[in-house]
Parts: sequence; C-alpha cells; structure tokens
Amino acid sequence: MTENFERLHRFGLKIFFDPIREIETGIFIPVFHRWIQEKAVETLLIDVADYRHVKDGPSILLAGYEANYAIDVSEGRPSLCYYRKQPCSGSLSTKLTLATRALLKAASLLETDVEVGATCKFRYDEICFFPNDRLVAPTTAYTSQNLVTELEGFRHLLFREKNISIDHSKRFDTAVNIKERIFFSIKGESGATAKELINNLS
Amino acid sequence: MTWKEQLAKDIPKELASEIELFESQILLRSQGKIDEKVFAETRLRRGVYGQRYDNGQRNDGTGTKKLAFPEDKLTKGPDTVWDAPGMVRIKIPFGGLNPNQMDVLADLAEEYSDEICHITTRQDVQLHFVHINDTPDLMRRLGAVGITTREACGNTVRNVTACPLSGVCKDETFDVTPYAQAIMHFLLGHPDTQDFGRKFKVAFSGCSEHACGLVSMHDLGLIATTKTDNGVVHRGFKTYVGGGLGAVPHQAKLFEEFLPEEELMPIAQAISRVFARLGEKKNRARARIKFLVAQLGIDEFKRLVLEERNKLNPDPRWTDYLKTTISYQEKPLIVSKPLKGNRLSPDFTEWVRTNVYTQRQSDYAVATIALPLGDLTAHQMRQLADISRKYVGDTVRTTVEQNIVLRWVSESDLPNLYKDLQSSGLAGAGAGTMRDITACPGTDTCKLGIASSRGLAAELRSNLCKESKTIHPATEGLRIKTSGCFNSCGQHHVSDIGFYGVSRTIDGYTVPHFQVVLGGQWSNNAGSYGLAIGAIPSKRVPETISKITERYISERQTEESFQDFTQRIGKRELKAMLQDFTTVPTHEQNPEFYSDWGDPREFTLGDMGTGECAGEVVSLTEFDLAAAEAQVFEAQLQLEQGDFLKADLLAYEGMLLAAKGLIKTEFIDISDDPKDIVGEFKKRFFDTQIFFDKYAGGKFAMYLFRRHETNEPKGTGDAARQLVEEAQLFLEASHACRARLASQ
Repeated sequence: MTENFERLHRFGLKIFFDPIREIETGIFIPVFHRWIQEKAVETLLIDVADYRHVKDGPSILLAGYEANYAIDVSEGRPSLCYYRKQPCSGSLSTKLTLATRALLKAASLLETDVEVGATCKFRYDEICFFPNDRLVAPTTAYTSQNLVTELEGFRHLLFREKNISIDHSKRFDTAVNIKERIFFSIKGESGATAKELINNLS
Repeated sequence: MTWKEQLAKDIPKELASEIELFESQILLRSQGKIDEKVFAETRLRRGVYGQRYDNGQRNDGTGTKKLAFPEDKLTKGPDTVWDAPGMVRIKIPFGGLNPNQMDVLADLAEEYSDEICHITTRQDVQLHFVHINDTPDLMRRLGAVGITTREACGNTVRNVTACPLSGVCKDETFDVTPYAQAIMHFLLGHPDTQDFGRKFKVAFSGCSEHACGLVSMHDLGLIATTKTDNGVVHRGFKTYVGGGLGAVPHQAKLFEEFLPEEELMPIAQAISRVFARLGEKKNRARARIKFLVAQLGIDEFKRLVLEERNKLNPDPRWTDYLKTTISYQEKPLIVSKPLKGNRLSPDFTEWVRTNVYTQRQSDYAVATIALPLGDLTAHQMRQLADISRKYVGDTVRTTVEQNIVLRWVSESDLPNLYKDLQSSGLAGAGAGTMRDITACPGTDTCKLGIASSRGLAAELRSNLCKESKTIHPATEGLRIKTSGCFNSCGQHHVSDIGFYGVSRTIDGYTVPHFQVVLGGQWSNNAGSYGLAIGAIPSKRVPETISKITERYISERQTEESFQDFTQRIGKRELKAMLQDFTTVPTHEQNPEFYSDWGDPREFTLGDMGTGECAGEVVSLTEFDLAAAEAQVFEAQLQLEQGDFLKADLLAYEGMLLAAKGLIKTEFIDISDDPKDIVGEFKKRFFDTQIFFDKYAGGKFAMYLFRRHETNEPKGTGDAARQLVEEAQLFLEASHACRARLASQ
C-alpha cells in the first residue's frame, strides 16, 4: 500500500481562514501578482486567474508549474489551498512535508503582507489533505483506511502532540458521493503558529 | 496499474491507437526527434493548445521577465516552451453531453487543470493549465466515455455545432441532431480534410428565423428545410459557404437553396477537397474558405465543387445514417406533467421567465443553466451531472452562448429542479438577457488577447446583476459580447453591443481600450454584422453601455429594434455620442485607466504571442512521416519488451505509413490497403528511381517489398530486430526522398 501511495503526487492541502467568514477575495489578486514579480515562493509561479464569478471554487487562482495556490471558498469555509501537480520523488510523507511547508510559508506570507496582512489570519490547528488522483487514490473505503494509516506519522511530525485526530471528509463518511475526492482533516490542539509548524517539519 | 491498462476495454481500439501514437510522439519530441512545427500541428490536431506565457516570458508589471521552466530549451512548437502548461479543447459535437461524460470532465478539471470547466462559444469544453505529459491519460479518460479531442484545434474540421434546441424547438423544420452527428463522424480524420490551410467550421440550424445555429458566420452552414414533390416530403438543407467572423468578417454565401439530405456528405466532402486544393496555404490571414469563395465568386466555387462531387467514388457512409434520421428522437427520462402554478416564489418565477423554454412536446421544458463567463467548477459540473440523472438523463447540451441546457424537463419538476440548481449555485436567472454576457478567454489565457474580455465581462455582469430589477424591458434582451482582440472568438460582430480589445498609446503609456461594435444581428442565424464605431478606454465601457442603452430607451420608436435604432440614428451620431467617453485622464490623475479589468499590472502588449488558432501548414507527407517515426519507435519498445510479432507488425506499418506519405505528394487518394500502398510506391517511387539513394540505390525500398511479401513473420527476436532496423533505414530514406522532392 505504501508503495502505491508513493505514486501519489497529485494532492491538495488546505488551511482555513480564521475566523470563518465571507472574504473579499479580490484583494489577493495584486498580492499574487506581486508574488510572481518577487518570486516570493520557492516554486515557479506563472499567472493569476480570477474566478470570483463561480460559486464555491478556487476564487483566485495562482497558477504555477509544480503547484497551484488558490484562495478557495468551497463549502463556506474560505481557505488557502495548495494543489501539487508535478511528480516529485520520495514517500508520501516526504511529499506531504514539502507541500505542507510550502502551504504554511504561503499562509505566513499572506499574514505578514503589507496589503492584506491586517485582515488575513489562518487557523493552524487544522490542515485538510485530499488526494487528487482517482487512479492511485480512488474514493473507496480501502483508500480512506490506508491513507489514514499513512497520515498517522505525518500528523505526529506536524503537530508533535498526542491529542490529535484525523477525520475523513463528511462527503465520504456519509457516503453521499463516491465520485468526490476524500478529504482528511488533520487536527491538532489550538495555539500553534505557522512558524512552529514549519519548524516541526524541518 | 495505469489509466491505459485500466481503460483498455472501454476505449475504441482505433482511438486507443491514436492516443498511443500521440504519446509516442510526445516522447519523441521530448527527445528532439520530431520537428517542432510538425509536432505543434500534431498536438493541435489532438486539441492540445498553447496558452499565454508559453513562450517562457511574462510581463510581471515591471518588465518582461523569463519564466524559469525546468526544460527551457525544449519546445512543443515554435516559441512554445515544453513545460508551460496549456489548454486542452474538448470537442462536444452539437454540444451533446450525458451525465457520465460530465462526471469525467469534472474529474479531469480537478486532476489535470484548475478545477474549472469552461464552455466555449462553439459548444466545446476547455481545460486550462494542463501539462502536456498529462494529455494522453486525459484523452484516454475522455475516450472511455465517447469523447475525443481529435481535430479540436489545428487546420481541421472543428467541432460541428448545432442549435441546442434541436428536436424540441417549436419552430424547427426538423431535428438536425442526427445530421450533425453523422457529418462529425464522417469528416473526422477523413483524408480529404487533412490538408487545409486553415480551420473549417460547420454549423446546423433547424430554422432560418432564429439565431441558435448562427450558420451565416460559418464555413459551412446548413439550415433544415423540406421540399414536397408529388405529395412526398423530402428533407434537405439550405446550404451556405464561406461565412466567418475574425478580422475580416464575411457573411456566408448561399450555395444551394435545397441540398437533398443524401447529398449532404458528398457535397461536404467535395467542398473539403476544393478547399484543400485551392485554398491559401502560405498566408494564414487569408487562408479561410471565405477568402477562396470571395476570390472565385460563389458561382465558380459551386461549379468547382459540383465538378469535384461528380468525381467522387460512392461511399456508403453518405447515406447509411439516413435510415435512422426520421425516427431519431431523444427519449425523455420522465413522463411529463404540467406545472401547477400555486405559491411559486418570485425568484422561481423570474428564473422560469428568463431561463425556461417550453418545448414543442407537451409539458416538457428546456432549462438553461446560465454560466457566468461560461465557467463552472468541477464540483458544480459533477452536481449538475447528478441533477441531470435525476431529471433528464442524457439530454444535456452546451450552447454557443457558453451555457448548458437540460432538455426534456417535465414541467412539474421545474420547482424541484430549481431548488437543486440553487443548492449548486447554478440557478442564476437572466439567460439570454443583457446579463448573460459572452466572452472569449482574451488576455486571461489566449496569446492573441489584447485586452481583458473576461475581466470586462465579469465587471459588466456584476454591475448588471446588481441592477437586474431596474433594467428596462426594452434593453433586457440585448446581447453583449466581448472579445479580447479583433478575431471575434467572443462573437462581438453578432451582438447588439459588442466589444473587442485594442490599445491606444497616450503620453507614452499603453492604455487598454475596447472598440465598440453596434448593430450586429444575433437573430436570423447571425443575419448581419455590427460595425465598429470607436475605441473607448476599458475602464469607461460600463458608462458607455449606460449611455447607449439610455438613449435607446428614450429615443426608440414604437417596437423599434436596437439594430434598427442604431441604423436610423447612424454611425456618425453614434460616434459623436460616445466621444465624451474616449478621453483618458493622465497617469498621474488616474493610474487605474492604465491597467485592465481584474489585473493590477500596468497594461502592456508585451505578453502577446503568436496564436495557435491553427498551427503551421504541415503537409500530409510530413504528418505521415512523423506518424511513421512514432510507429517505428513503438516497434522498438515492443522489441525490448519481447513481443516480437508486435514489433514486426509495427515496423512494417511504419514503413507503409512512410511510403504512403510519399505517395501523397503525387496521389492524395491513396487508400490504407497495404497492397495499394506498396503497388503505388513501387510504380511511382521505385520504378522511377525517385526513391533511390545516391549510393545504396533501391536497397531501402526492398526492405518494404520483402516484408510485404512475407505472409507469416518468423516471430523471433533476431528477425524482429532486423526488421525494426530496416524500418528505421527505410524511414531515413523516406525523409531524404522528401527533402529531395521539396528542393526541386
């Protein structure tokens, strides 16, 4: 199973805005353009797409070569989302570590941004993970159970806590729609900061 | 397990082979073994399109900067960096979709794109930011549900469009759906459609009066019509050719008042042959068939087509499909019941008013899902698939106004359908009204885009939605369409109020503008085109619309259409009316005028590139040689894997393909039969010594002849290896022969 999930390079991670509220996502357009200009993240960024006109989706997309970022407004929980697209070597845990660091660094950049930092805060007690590859990780109970096992080690690395949990997505648990991707909510105790979590992953 | 293995049984064999061939070509190009121009046209013909910034450069607001793609030397076409993600266009013939296909489109948008499905103005679906290495699997997953991307781009017959109300329309003469389907299959990959200098678009309409088919702006436009002889009703098509928008829009010319249905395919084939033979090949700007028709005149063009028609060998596909056209009808999922109208909410009533069309079939309706800018999320697409399963089954269609329609909704289901659509964020009212703005991709993703057509459309839509309750009834039905440049992918020529992106230089700054195009006709199948009356700064377009519509409301005469109004008051007056909006404040006064909608970067034309609406004109021979390369390469792979019989067969097929490519320089109608290919090759290239190498003489040709005469290959590793090597040498000799011919 582990070997199989090593092939999983398409996946997403989300970190949620705090407090949960409706946000004017247009404010992130100039910020993301500036990120491209300043090469603000380690991976190659290409362009910004404005999808504010669609409901419950990637409202503002920052398209990259290895990965996309988005200010996502799905299910009434605005989030910063990171979509890994390109293959990279290593175990799933290694890939998750790299991707989560990229997500946390991006969140941290937004929180300290001169334009949006004052109104932009994230909660670091929960990170949502979802496989985005229906060949390697289809939405099945088998995938769900085995990915939970895979995620165990990662959550300890990330939160360094005992009282933490991994929830499967509501969509999957209620068996509403097996066509949707499985979402795993990796939760820790409140109070952690982006910096602490990044350090935990170093 | 791979998608190739998982879907092996679900994909038609021929399509699976085509995708495998494309995958091999991707690999070969990545190794520099296929010319970039040939590969560009090859991938375009597979629907794999370039996107803005794929030249590896982008203006980041401070200047043009290099995008550091990992493979910055390797290209997938001229000035097109290999690693730059691009667009995939997915052909949806006549816009017809079923829920399983919608599910797959949603999956692909999530996994390979950016979670957005975009409906185009030609009923296609486009996915953006897709990596080329992902395209073979993407195609396999589409192929498994009966969708192809083949010939979605490039110099080919593009998606065949049709009125989305075909079969349920109250005014149509007959349902054009089976004809659209048949001609799509017939022309797809047809040898006579492979050597065009430019793209070729076909559209069907069920009636003359209404707009849905837009046949007047197509290369080949067909309107359903009938003729009665001795009491017998015959079906046929009022046939138009040579229409098109673009920088130089042409109204299609009437080719035939009544083309009998049995002549549809042969005439389409004959038109294709004349276009391939006489159409411009060097100057892309004048290569559409509209220029050929204009140059020859419709009478001479028709004479040539009929002459070509008479030379064609009969093909059973011309008429086989006609056995089922009369009986063709979609089956509704649910037995219809009327809508009982008590206690219906105002929102629902408004949605029904603008988005629901009563079918000619009793108590059935068509519900339009008005998609903002043609976009819906993958999640919405999946939800819509489930909604379709619940209410209508397989009767979903995309529209050229970038919407989706659900046909055969029982009217009694409309309230529940509305609720379900509401919960998916898909119940927006205003379909077909001023709010329902069409926009091409423009500067968002298109290399040709000058100004942000989507940014403008989003701004206008947002404003008009806020004012929806106060929009005057006289202007509510006006159509607004925006294009990022003069090429009119947003169909601005056939809108009441159209815009296309231009730029103006003011005090050394480049300022985004839109040309205002007024008076186009959407009705009567795009009956007439509007004219540009002046350029307005992008940021002043909303005020301009208010000015135009207010004047129309106050000065229109009884029942006067907007088109008649603009004609009556005249272009000079219209231009004068907009004069006040042409001024641009200085950069210091208002820097916002110097950036485009939805994009804070200072406006620049530096990001424009060479368009890939069609690639380079690549000869059929070059295509066949490229395909032969891939086949021989595949033979090598099979050899390595120990499947010697397959390696032998692939090497042989590679030689046949190369030989066929050479034959096409003299005889375009060569069949696929190995016997014919070898016979013609021998007669034309071996006996004449044209194929002969200066030193080796006819040795390489003998490799082909010898294998052709072998009925049962040995199947040993040694024999297969020898044949693969011989095939490679035959291929090299073919390239050399092709080069000699080209230099003569």
